[in-house]
Amino acid sequence: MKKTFVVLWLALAPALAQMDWLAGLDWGGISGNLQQVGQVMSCNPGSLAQLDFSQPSLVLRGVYRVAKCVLCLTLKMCGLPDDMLYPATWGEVLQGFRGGGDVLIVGSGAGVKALTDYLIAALGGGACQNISYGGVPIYTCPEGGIRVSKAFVVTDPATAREVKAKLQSIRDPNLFKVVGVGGERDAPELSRVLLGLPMVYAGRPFMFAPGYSTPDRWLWLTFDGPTADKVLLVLRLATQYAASAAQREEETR
Amino acid sequence: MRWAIGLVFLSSLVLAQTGPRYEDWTKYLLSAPDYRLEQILKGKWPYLEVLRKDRFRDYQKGPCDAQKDPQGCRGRLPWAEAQAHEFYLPLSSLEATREVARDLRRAWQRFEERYYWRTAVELNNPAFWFAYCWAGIRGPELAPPLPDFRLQVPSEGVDPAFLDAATRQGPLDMGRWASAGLHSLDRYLPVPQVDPREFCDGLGMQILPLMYIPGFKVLLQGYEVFRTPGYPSKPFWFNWDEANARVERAMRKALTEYYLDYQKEVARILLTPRPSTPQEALNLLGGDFRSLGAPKVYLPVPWQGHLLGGGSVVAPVYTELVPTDPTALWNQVQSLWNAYKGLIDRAGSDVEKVYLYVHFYRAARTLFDSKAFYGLPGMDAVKENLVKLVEAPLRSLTQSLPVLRGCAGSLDQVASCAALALKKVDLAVKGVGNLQDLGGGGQAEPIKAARESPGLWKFEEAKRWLPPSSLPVYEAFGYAGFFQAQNILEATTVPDIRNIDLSSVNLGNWISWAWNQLSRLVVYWHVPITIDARVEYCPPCVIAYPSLPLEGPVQPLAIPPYVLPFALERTHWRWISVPEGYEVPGVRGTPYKPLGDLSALTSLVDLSAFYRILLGR
Repeated sequence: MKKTFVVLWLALAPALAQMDWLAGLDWGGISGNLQQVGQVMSCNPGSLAQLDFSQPSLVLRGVYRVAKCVLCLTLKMCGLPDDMLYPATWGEVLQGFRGGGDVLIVGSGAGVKALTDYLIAALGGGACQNISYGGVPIYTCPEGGIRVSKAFVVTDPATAREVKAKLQSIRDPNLFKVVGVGGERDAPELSRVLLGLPMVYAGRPFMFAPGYSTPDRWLWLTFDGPTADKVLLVLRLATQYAASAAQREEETR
Repeated sequence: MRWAIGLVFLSSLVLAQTGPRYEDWTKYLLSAPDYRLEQILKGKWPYLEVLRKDRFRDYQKGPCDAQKDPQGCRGRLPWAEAQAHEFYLPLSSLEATREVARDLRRAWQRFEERYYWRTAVELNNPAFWFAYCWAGIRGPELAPPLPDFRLQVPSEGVDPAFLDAATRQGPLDMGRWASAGLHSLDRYLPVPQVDPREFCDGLGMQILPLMYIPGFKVLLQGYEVFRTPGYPSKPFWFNWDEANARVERAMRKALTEYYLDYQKEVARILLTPRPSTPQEALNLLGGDFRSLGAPKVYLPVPWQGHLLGGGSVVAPVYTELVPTDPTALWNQVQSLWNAYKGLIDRAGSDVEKVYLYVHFYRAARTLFDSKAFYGLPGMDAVKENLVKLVEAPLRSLTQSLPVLRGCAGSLDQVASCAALALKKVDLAVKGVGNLQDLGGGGQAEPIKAARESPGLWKFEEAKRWLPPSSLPVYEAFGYAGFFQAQNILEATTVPDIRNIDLSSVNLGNWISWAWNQLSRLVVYWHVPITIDARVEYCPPCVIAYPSLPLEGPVQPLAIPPYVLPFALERTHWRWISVPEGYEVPGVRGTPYKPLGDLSALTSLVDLSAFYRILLGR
């Protein structure tokens, strides 16, 4: 009985509630409806056809903008915030690297490689001028160095192998833990599709879409405060999983 | 003598530049498939043998006792390890691995639903609690269809020289992980598709604290005089702290408890053999070749297990044990031919393209002469078909190359003659003889690679594109199909924003994708109200009443994180083919050695003991 009652009520509520909204449409003349279609066009849905899927964080951002605009115009659902991802400064990221906590980098490709290069050099005590990304040297080593208790990199096997080779130069071999996803050999198909959005976690989650020459000029995107708090829940957990994966990798002979 | 050494040196230089580069660190080889067809009839389960090469090499050097001869044992593996270089992997049926893949998918779907609905219900308590937990409104059960078989050619397994040769004319389809894009629901419904108990645990009706004061507008005699800011999208006041706390609480619960349940379920699905006892599996074997059929059996081998940083769970697969329908067998052989020819046409030189006919003819003839087909009616027609497929093109092709021109006689004689010619061209590539005179001018790479690659490497590499098949086909063509599952850590959202099929971007794709995303936004539903005040004839009096929510019904207010984040491990699967004597990709460590933390997830069956009964060794 209670079920039927609730179902009936739930089924009717939207229909009843829509009446006013439906009545507000210009059902008589087609012009009004066309005008609304025109409004949707103002959300630039064409941008969806030009998304660059090699930059997943930008895809997320672009899709969100269009969806939010269409929802607000057509269904008057305007309760979504303007943006989900906000530009972050390199200073903020550096602050995370100085916090002395764990760092987690998930992703693959040139951006992740350059970022780990940067961390290795900075943790090794300067000499950042020797790293270049896209031919442009990186100068932004912080003066006091950076402080990280442990850095985990989860990446494709080829990048993992490269990073591991570079780690020979680091004094503390336990500082960096690299987890290669997949088997022992390079698996490029993993690096392209499966690893998802590039993420950097160092107390606050940052996503980044490399496309500029140096870390201080990369496009860093971060979440707003309340979102960041919740993404942190996952990333803290992910760091634990990366840690046990690194241990597993050592155990596997 | 000196010039000979120089020549060898020179030719090895040439080889190093153009030939295959089978690397030394290849570790795991598919060794001779041993199906022991007669043994199957005696009630023993078929298996494959794999070899760990580093151990095998040390084993070949002979025994070595580190205590007696520390000098001689330097740099060598302990003798016990070197001895344990061979591993037996029992075969599973392709159908059974598809069922395993379906169960893995359902496990993910269950987690995805629990994650979202826990968050939605806890946030929208009490409205959703009433609807979903108390009244128990729910959609149909999760019932994902059997996932399609999709072959992947892991590029890490293929030699770069082959890839270079095969992609000269254009890109080559290497397939994707069979699981790519399948971590999603089949339908995103506005009602949960799991039992309410799955996500309502520990939740009670929660009316306080107050979540919001509704937004409103005031109408006087039908004319609007006031509306709250942001009406109707925003409530007049909203308890953001409580909403954030609720979402965070729900997410924490889902990501720790429900996620662990997912991991446990996956471990159980992947590591439990089906059927659950060796005897039940053996009972499925028939007494003669005609009644063997395709018993649906899943016999996994944890190659260190599937967890991130661990390795894989592996199961070699067959489509059926022994084919009994000659027409179906012939169709299958033809599909092998098409796949094979497509690749050698791309990657092979002129001589190799001709030799493909010989190579294929010999393998297919071995297949048709297999004991499994003795006395099977219709096999003669199949053998004739084979000759028809191969003979005429081969004879005409031999006329096009000088080195093959002398090849005549019966089909077998032509085949042997072509094999000799191939050897001559190969030697010429390696510097013994004149390549131009032989008409093999287009031959850039050696036909037989120097080391680490038994057989003719291009013909072997092409087998990675052959589909899974039956035991006699595997035996005759020298390859085997594998099912593999492993965890990959992905940073993405739930539902996965990447789940759009970009191979055909069209409106339908975008619409279903957009619905999937929007239907799983984290929102608080609030009800804006209208206060309508008017003078009515009742006799004349003023009535002010809240009317039904107008101008947009219930309104969603998006709560951070808007879409649910996910950055943890989840299980992917794929099917691959491995040529005999070549590397098994995507694995690490040692088979049958599950890592310690797997036992925390599921009660591990002692598979070595289980399979000892099945295999009889």
